[in-house]
Amino acid sequence: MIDDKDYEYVRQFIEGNENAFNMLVNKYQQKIYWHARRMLGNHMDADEVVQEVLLVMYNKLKDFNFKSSLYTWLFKITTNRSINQLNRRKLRRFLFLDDSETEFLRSDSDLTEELDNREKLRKLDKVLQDLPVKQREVFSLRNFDELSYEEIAEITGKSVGGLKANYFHALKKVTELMKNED
Amino acid sequence: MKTDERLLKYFSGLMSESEKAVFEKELSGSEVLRREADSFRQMMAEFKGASEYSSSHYFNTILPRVRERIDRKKSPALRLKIAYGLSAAAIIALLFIINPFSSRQSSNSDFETAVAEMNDTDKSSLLGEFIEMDQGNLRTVINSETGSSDAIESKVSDALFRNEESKGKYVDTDDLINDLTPQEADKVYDALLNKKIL
Repeated sequence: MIDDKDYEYVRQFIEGNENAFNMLVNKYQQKIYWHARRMLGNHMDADEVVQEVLLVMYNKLKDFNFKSSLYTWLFKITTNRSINQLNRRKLRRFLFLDDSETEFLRSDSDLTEELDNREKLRKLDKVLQDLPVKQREVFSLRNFDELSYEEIAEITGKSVGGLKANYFHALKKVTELMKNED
Repeated sequence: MKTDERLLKYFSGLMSESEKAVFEKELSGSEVLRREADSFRQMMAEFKGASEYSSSHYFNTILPRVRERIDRKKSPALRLKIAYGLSAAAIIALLFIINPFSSRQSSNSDFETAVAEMNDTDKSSLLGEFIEMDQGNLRTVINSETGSSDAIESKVSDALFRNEESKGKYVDTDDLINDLTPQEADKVYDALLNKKIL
């Protein structure tokens, strides 16, 4: 389904109104950030992905044809970029570039200084990072962003049946992990 | 206590219509099951709540930083060319680092010369060959060849800057990985994954 406001912003942006891009950023930045954060498990990497996704949006928006909704497209880019970032992280570890200092910086830098919120975020990051990537992906999009399986299938390119099975296993693992955390 | 698997199946949408009807009937008749469903919902809601925290300070910084990057990209063509060159070179450099033949079948300088003389098609074909190679545990080879990340960075610098004027220039391998396009990074990652070393 096409969001009329999105359509209007994109049209205005194509006509040269740069402010329309700002409006789209304001509308979607939190969704993009949280999806990336849940995929990557830390603020620094999520922040990098948010910027990459918004740069892609800026560069490709002129070619966007509304065959899918704008948010599905943005989730697709965010998912791909997050997986790419996870792969880079593994490459760095492999090449010994991720030492304890950068790990510390990643875990130390965050959205909030408030202890209670930090603890909640720590728990969220920890539980989600214990899920395999495919399960994390579907769990994040369904449980947090409340997308339908059909929308998730469009984003991930996977079958609805496969996604349901992944979600089931993710739910099972999350409930066990949450009980252990308490 | 373990969560009833039927609840998980129900919330995952894995039940057929008939299974769903039977389960919903049982749910409405069983206090125990209903309590379990409620506590499951509550647990998931609390979990979800953790990522509804919105820091206005952080979110206010995103747009200016993205705008700055857009403006930077718009201006100097030279920078783009360097970035492009580096991303292609980074693949070759990574190949150089992880090529087990670099010290066994040819000397480093032979390998560097060969890479320097390659055109883009040859470079792609080299990458293809690397992906096809089955050399067992490359990590051991890399450890024995380089030993430390300093040694790796020095090898990358050597591989990238071969001419006299740029000799001795420092190259940050971390930046090189950042300069890989997503496709290039995926390709290298997949290659390493296929060799079961990641």
